[in-house]
Amino acid sequence: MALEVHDIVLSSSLWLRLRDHLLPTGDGAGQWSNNEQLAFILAAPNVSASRVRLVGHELLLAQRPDLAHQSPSAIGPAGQFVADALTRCRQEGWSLIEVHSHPFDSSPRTTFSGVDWSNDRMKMPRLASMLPDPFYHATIVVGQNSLDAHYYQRATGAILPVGQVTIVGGICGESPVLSHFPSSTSARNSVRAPEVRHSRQLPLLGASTQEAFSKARIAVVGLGGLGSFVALELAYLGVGHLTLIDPDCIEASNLNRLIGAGPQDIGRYKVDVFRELLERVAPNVGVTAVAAPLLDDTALDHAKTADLLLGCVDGHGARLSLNHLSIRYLIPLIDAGTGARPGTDSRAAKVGGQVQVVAPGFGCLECRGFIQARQAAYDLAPPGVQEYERAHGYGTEEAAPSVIFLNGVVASMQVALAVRILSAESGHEHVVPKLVIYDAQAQRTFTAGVSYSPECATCGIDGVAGVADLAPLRAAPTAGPLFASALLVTEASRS
Amino acid sequence: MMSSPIKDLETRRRLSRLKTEALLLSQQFGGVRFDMQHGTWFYVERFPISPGWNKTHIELLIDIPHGTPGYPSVPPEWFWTDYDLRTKKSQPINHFFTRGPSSDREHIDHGWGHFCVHLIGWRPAGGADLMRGHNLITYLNLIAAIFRDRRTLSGA
Repeated sequence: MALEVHDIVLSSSLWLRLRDHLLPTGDGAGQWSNNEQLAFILAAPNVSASRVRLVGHELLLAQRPDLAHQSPSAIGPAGQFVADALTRCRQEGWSLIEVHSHPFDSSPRTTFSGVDWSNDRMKMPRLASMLPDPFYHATIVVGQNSLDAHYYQRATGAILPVGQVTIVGGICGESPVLSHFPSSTSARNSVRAPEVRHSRQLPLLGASTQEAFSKARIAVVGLGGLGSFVALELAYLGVGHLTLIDPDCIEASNLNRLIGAGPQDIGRYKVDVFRELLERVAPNVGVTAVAAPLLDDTALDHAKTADLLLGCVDGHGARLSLNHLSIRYLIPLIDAGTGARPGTDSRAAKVGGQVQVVAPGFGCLECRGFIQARQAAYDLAPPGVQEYERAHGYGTEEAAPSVIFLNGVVASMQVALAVRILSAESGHEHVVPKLVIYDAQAQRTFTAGVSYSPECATCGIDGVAGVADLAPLRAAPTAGPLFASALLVTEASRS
Repeated sequence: MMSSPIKDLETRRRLSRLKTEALLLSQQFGGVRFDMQHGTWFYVERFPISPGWNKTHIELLIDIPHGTPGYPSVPPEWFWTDYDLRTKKSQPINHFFTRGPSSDREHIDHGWGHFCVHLIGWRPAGGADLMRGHNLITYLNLIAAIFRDRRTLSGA
């Protein structure tokens, strides 16, 4: 059966520029604002076993010279504008999302006109035949108060509705991290009645947040002291689906902090132990357990289906990988970490942790300086190179201290932030802080400003936001054969 | 199964960056080359080193991290250089290994020694402006500084 396009995912900055172009307001807009407007989005697919998401990467705004005709009720691109976009699709592998406006439509259910349908029926099969799989072609029409979206399903030749347009990221850094615009012709899911077991939290969260939570797919990466708390709390809260990713088995030294695990679990995969635990305490929560590192193909396939990533890892290679997964697929990441630094004669001991959000417009762990380069390079090196480095005394740092009450506090902060993000999704206007720090000795939490660089190599203007399956994550291949060409070059230089 | 352009975007991005960095570095060091197919290595034919060594110039072959995430998010650390590099007083050189990983036997046979530079701080420059942040130019400048301060290498 052909997979359906579940949603179109756009960064908040792309969406704002698109809206400003499609529905211009303010001084100087004049007659221009009454006309339909048009833009293309170069997008990349995020294909998983269950659904397809089209992830926006680059916005191409059609200016007046790019249009063949334009009026308050019709618009068409010039041939060169189309040809330029299609050339990039063919050469670089992008999918295409065409967007135009209906500025005259202020209804709550804007939809495609008969002319729009006629155009799409004609050109969509033609473009699909011109461009190689996995080219996806979607169109969006945006009205004053609503939008509609559909796409061409290559396997069946049908034009089908896209469920929703998802906007990810902060606007001015303080707005909801996740927002959804349902498409007018998509089937609306009925609202489920909350379960009795959640009745005591409903007055606090609200029915809409509970509903959003029950539909959410959350990936918890790392099931150590933090991740075990996080997974259980999310299950008790009533999340729809949890994906647990961790390659490790339980060791005796983990039992001071893996909540719910006991001596009988030593030697078993953490994800298996916690899947059983979650199925017992919250049988309505779907659970997928992947006993593999994040860069394993299966783990990535499951992680990229998530609506929200919760990073509970202690390695900088895994943290960097999560950062890239978040930016590349436009999936918000809530990263958490704990730390303890023993005191010395001249320096007080420090114990605490932090929780932070990675999303478009918020910056990322790299431009904030939260990635330790040396450790990330070691963690991400091929196993043979790691072994070689250990043999020379590198990468042999002692395990960091960890204590359950510290993990519990920071994990709860992380889950509270997840609730806040999903609450915002359901219409509540909560401010989502970028970074929250917990000082265990002072017994206080505080939010902190973070630096954000538009020039960041990862999340910046020329970074990798929205490249999705066009540049998927993968572990470094072993060195050796790739150097053969280097040796030939250097031999030639010497001779 | 994804078709070929899918896997190529990351490599294309890395190659584009290496090409720009090669242009900049060639102005400083003359002959430079890089793996134009996969972006896995970067080669400097005559890298000048300060007095105190048994050579005035060495070859450098830098391992470019090529997983995803890879360079520039992941900094280069290891590089290969002349196997017979010594201080003039023939003191042992820290972080220099005449045998690389077992899989790289061919490097040893070709007369290379393996050298490690640990980077503590690494804020990679974005593609829009390579000079605002770290890149191969800053990495080579660091290598030059390390060779200049022989004490860090020889423990003298």
